[in-house]
Amino acid sequence: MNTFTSTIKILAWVLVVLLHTANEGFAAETADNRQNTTAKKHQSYVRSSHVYQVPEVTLTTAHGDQVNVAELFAAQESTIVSFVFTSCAGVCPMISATMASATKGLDPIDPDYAIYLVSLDPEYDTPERLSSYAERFETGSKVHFLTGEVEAIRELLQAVDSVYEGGNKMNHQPITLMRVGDSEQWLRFDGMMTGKAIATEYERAKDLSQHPSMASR
Amino acid sequence: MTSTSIRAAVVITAVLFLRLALTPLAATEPPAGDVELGKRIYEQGIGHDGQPVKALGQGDIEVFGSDFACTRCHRRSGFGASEGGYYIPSIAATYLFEPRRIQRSDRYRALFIDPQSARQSAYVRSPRIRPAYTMETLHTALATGLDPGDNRFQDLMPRYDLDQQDMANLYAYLQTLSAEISPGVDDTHIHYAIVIGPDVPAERSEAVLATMDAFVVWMNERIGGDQRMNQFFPYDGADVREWLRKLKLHEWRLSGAPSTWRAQLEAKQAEQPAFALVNGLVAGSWEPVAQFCNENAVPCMLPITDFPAVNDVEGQYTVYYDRGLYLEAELMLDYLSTPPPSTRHNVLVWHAQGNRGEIPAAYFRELLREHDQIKLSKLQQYPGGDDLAAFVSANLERIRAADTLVIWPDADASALLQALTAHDLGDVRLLLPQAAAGSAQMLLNSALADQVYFTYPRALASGYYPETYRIQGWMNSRGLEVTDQRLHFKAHYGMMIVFDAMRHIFNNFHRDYFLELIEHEVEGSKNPGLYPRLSLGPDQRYLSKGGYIVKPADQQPDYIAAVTDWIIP
Ligand code: HEC
Repeated sequence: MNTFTSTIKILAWVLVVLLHTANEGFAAETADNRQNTTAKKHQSYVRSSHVYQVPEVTLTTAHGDQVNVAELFAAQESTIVSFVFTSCAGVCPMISATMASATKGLDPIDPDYAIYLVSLDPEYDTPERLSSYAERFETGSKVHFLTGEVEAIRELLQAVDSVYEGGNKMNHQPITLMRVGDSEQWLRFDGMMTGKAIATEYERAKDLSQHPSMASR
Repeated sequence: MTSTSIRAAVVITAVLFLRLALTPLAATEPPAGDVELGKRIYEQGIGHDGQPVKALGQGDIEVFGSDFACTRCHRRSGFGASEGGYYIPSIAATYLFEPRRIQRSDRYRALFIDPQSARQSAYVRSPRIRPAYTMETLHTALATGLDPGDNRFQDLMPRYDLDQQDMANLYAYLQTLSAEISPGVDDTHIHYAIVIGPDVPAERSEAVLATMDAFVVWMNERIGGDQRMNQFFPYDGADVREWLRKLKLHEWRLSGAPSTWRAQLEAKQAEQPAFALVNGLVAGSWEPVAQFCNENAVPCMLPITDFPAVNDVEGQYTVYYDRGLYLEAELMLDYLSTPPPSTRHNVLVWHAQGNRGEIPAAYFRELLREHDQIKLSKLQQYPGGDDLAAFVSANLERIRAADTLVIWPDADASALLQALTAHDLGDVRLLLPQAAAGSAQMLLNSALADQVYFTYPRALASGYYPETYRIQGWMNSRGLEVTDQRLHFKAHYGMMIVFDAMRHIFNNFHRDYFLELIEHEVEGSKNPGLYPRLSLGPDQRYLSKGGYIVKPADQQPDYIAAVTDWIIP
């Protein structure tokens, strides 16, 4: 190796080390911020509100029926949507169990709602697989699983701004979408929710849709 | 008091109670742990009394059973995963029973490789120091979500309610979990092997071996370069490079009857263990090799076979491209029954002598048994060579009476189709597997052009896969003579997938972890155009799940065009 290239390389390494140190400093700062926020409010998800245009794509239910998603999501007063896949390791079983448990809190508030769990792995999650999954998690009559063509699901994900990175479903983030009343507004919750939190958010959203003036509170 | 401080107070009280409850026990002898029963808790969520262990998930949901067993999140290897934006830490023995280190390999993947939410990446970066776990502190952590450094777990980690005996069993198992690195790795090399069965045509095995050898040479040059860098620049990244190992490929050639393969494989494994098997070619069923892989917990990556195992493959040790000829039989039935025929549909089945004809024909017959309208009229083995034309002539009436003639050929598809084109077959439809699709061009100029269909469980030549050109270029620049593009590409892809997993494994040379990395990364890998999509998930074992039905078509690459969408039977 000649001296010129080795000098360049040493300089490059010095730069790398410097950048690395700077980065560690930043990391500590973010961690501190995090501790502050968790200390203040113990909430594992972030709420936001969006206008989403649900696409007119066809998906398949766990019973093998073809459905128009836009119509399906509009078919009842309120709609809750999340994304899972049956072979998913830890997060999806938890989401599925959470949805099943959420129904107990949601029913007394207003039973005119439906929960849809859309598969992120439609080629593997055939209707048969989804219906045995539903049975295993005892998700009940209010929770419906959907699968379908990869492209149709991708279109839905795009419409609700939830495309996962690198085209790899393993990178999906847990989100819950909630539409209450005939509003076009969707509430979006990023992160893991408890069954209680879903019911609380539902109640709050119902209040807001019935008394829009409370929105400013 | 705010709700947070109430919560904190409750947690602290609970911990104090637990500590009090546990301390006297720790002073007396804890029950002896049973590793096998501990494994059952870990993998199935079943306690020593045979009942599912209970847990609280997400703070308030009672969960139990295999869907919330430790393995679901921390995986069979114990190394955890990063999934759904959540980072699930390693609980392998070398991690749990040592103070938490801030070592880059542990967090490297979580930090730099897997995309994450901002919240999650801040969490992973925050160094939550804790001492090594003891049985007591582990019991407390599982019950309360507080680790021995008093860090609180995220809600995703359930709170487990384990009695003393279950705890002792689980603890005993965790002490063994990925405690030793797997065989097949030494100070300088990782050893891989390719299994080549008897009766594999030499041109096939040579094509695969040439590609793999070129890959190994290429890779080892790169690894050698990185290793040399450490001598000159033992700074940033040196720790990671220290774990680099060159690849060494062994040819495991089998001979004799499949029933003797197991013993042959075990002898080779005893001589020089392979960390994993890659690619692989056998003339018939892969099953005997799959059994070896399962029993020795050796990952078998992507054998090039038409006869994969099809039952209970989930979580097993062979990962396949697809379901082979079984998939093609299912595609045929799906095609025939969409839409379901309103009247009885008669199917005549012909097959060649030998595995490639007999096995799928028998499987297809089984599938038809369960169908009400689509019925087998007759299953016939057709003769080879000079008797073929006479056989066709003798069966013309039977063909014309059928609605569909399904043919499972061997290498003789084109001769058989040629013999059939010599006759007026009425309006019967012919359905054959992809192996016969090479006859499409010949059929175009025959009366049968509009009557013949093929199953096609692979990408169409008309698809656009930029990676194809890159690999083609790689092969050209290495002077590889590409005789069978698909075969060469499979040989290359198998090596690529293995190499990708090794890049992320660092010094955690554990076979289960290796498989988990592959499950995790296949979907994000560059598609070389072998299939329209490649994906796996935890415990999934087929990269591609469906297929098209195609027919001969003019002015198309490969002279075929799809008549259906991608079908998942
Ligand atoms: C639903 C997913 C899930 C399941 C099931 C699960 N865990 Fe965890 N586990 C996690 C997550 C996420 C963390 C990280 C918690 C944190 O640090 O915030 C974790 C952390 C841990 C830790 C702390 C590791 C450390 O270095 O301090 C231990 C120990 C642990 N789990 C053991 C177990 C055992 C034993 C089981 C089965 C009885 C189990 N886990 C089941 C998700 C899970």
